[in-house]
Parts: sequence; structure tokens; C-alpha cells
Amino acid sequence: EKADADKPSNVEANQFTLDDVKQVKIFTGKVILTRGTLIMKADKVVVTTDPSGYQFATLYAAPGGLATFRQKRDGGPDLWIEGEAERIEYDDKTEIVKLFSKAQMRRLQGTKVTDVVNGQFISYDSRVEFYSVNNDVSGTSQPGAGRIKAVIQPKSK
Amino acid sequence: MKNLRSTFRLRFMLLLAACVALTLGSFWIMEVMRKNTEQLLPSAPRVAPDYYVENFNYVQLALDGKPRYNISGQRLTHNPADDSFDVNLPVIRSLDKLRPPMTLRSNTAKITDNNSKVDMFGNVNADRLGTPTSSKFHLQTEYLRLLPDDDIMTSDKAVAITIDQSQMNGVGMYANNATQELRLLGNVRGTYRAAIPRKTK
Repeated sequence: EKADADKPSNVEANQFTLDDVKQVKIFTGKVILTRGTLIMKADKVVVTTDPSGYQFATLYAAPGGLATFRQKRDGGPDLWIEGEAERIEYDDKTEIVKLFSKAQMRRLQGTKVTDVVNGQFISYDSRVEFYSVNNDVSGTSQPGAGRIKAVIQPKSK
Repeated sequence: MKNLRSTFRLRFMLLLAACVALTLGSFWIMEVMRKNTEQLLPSAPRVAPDYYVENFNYVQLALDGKPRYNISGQRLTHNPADDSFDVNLPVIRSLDKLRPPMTLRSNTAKITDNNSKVDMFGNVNADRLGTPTSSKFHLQTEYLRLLPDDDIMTSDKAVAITIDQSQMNGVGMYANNATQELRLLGNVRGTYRAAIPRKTK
């Protein structure tokens, strides 16, 4: 949702470390990062700030677990998008969410999942709500590196 | 018969002299002992404060003679028992040119281990102005331990920290002003305002 961009982001975690020289903030232990309707959960979040003040967050899942994110979509009363992966990168400047390895993205209407996408790498531009899926963590599809599975539900009128 | 009496008198005189020497000797030894114990065991060690200074300003100099930090306050009381100081309304300022200056205030403080440990109690505030290389820092807590020589602050109580625009709360804190490192040790709550106003597309 576009309105999320201007909202302050809240973070909850068990521990927090700040290295003021390198401007690196690390949250560890059941981290919940919320910003407007965007909710991200992970075991460890590393936030770096670039000189112009934009923040870049990398979410690491607990070993064996998945980092998840959920955000409301524009263009409808109850449209949501959810994603999970072993590592999620969120760039505050471009508002692009990148999901790495065992990535899955679901679009929901209320609680009903309308379409699902699985792949090794999914990038989702939350500003224009466009996402691209590749079968390799590098971000570009490699031949033979695995299949992309997508289930797209017909629009129920 | 006569010399019997004289030998008796001689022996008696010798005995008498010995006894007198003995009593005088013991008196002398007792006197020496009493004087010694008096120095060894001073009267009960003094616990009550022995002096206080009002509206003081104590400046600690570094090895190169430059001021490292100063502690000023409304009243400084010395406790001889553990050679510690109690301070009312302390203000501690780091004066080291290399690092951004930090100012600490609290209701009371206790300085121990010949000024290498300062425990601050009650409404503790720490402030560091923002510099191009480091962010503006404000801290609020009920208890803070400061190690001025290593520029380290720790606390095991709840702390509220403001860094530039973000506000962080946690329980337990370790902050090293030398390496500009900060750690919150327990249930962390943070709020980030977007540092720069967003240009909505």
C-alpha cells in the first residue's frame, strides 16, 4: 500500500546492537517490524542506512524457519499480499521486497488465497505491486535450475 | 655464727635486687606493649563522612595533561570507610576532543574504586549532540553505571533512548562511546520515523 511509505516503522525484538560508525543496526530474537500495514517477522534483522538516510533491511529466518512479510494491497477493501523466504531484503528507497530461497508469495482476498507463486527468488515492488519470479537465488533464471510454480485463481465475479 | 648471718644477709640482698629488677622490667615491658598496641589498633575505624565539598568541579586529566572529563555537582561527600564519594546533583561531561562530547546528569551518584566507577541513581539523563559522523543521542533511565576511563556506560534497568529520530526502549544496556557501539539486552521496542520526508510519487 502506498500510504505505508510515510508511516513510521516500529520494531520489536529481544536484543538490539547499534554500530554508530558504520550505521548498522542489528535486531535479534523474534523480530517484528511493522510499518503501516506492512508486517515483517524474522529471527534477525540487519538494518543499514545509506548516506542519504534511506534504510535497507535484511531479514534472516531462524535456522529451518522462514522470514515472513504481509502487506495490504491497494485497489480493494481487503486485498493482502503475503510472502515468506529464508532471507528477505527490503529496500526503503525503491520499496522493493526481495525474497531469497524457498520463497513463496500469496495474494489474498480477505483470508482466501487468490494466487500463489513459488520460486527460489521473488522480487516484489510494493509501490506498483509488480512481482517477478526466478528460479535461482541470483535473481535471474538459470536454465535447469528448478521450476517456478504459480497457481492463479480465476477472478470470482 | 657471724659469717652465717652475713652470708644470709648477702643472699637476701641478692634475692631482693633480683625481685626489684624483675618488677621494674615487667613494668617497662607492659609500657612498651601498651604504646605499640595503641598505634596498631586505632580506635574504631571511622565510617561517618569526614569531609564534604560544596558546588565543586573535579577535572580528570589524561596522561598528556589534557582534560578527559569533569564531574561537577552541588555537594561531594567523602566516605573514609571505603574511600568513596557521594555526590548530589552530579553533572559529568566528557571533554575528550576526539569523541563527541557526552553530558550525564542524575539525582545522586556514588564514585568508587578511586574514580574509576561512577554509579548514577535517579532520573539519569545522558545527552550527546549529533555530529556529522555520529547521531544525536539521548538516554533516560533510573540507574546507570559509568566507567569514565573506558567511556563505557551500562545499566540493568529499563532505558529509553532517542537516536536522531528513532526512539528505542529496552531493559539492560551497554554503550561504548569510544567505539560508538550500543547494545540493548532485553525486550527491545523501537520506533523509526522516516529520516527524510518522502516524495510521494
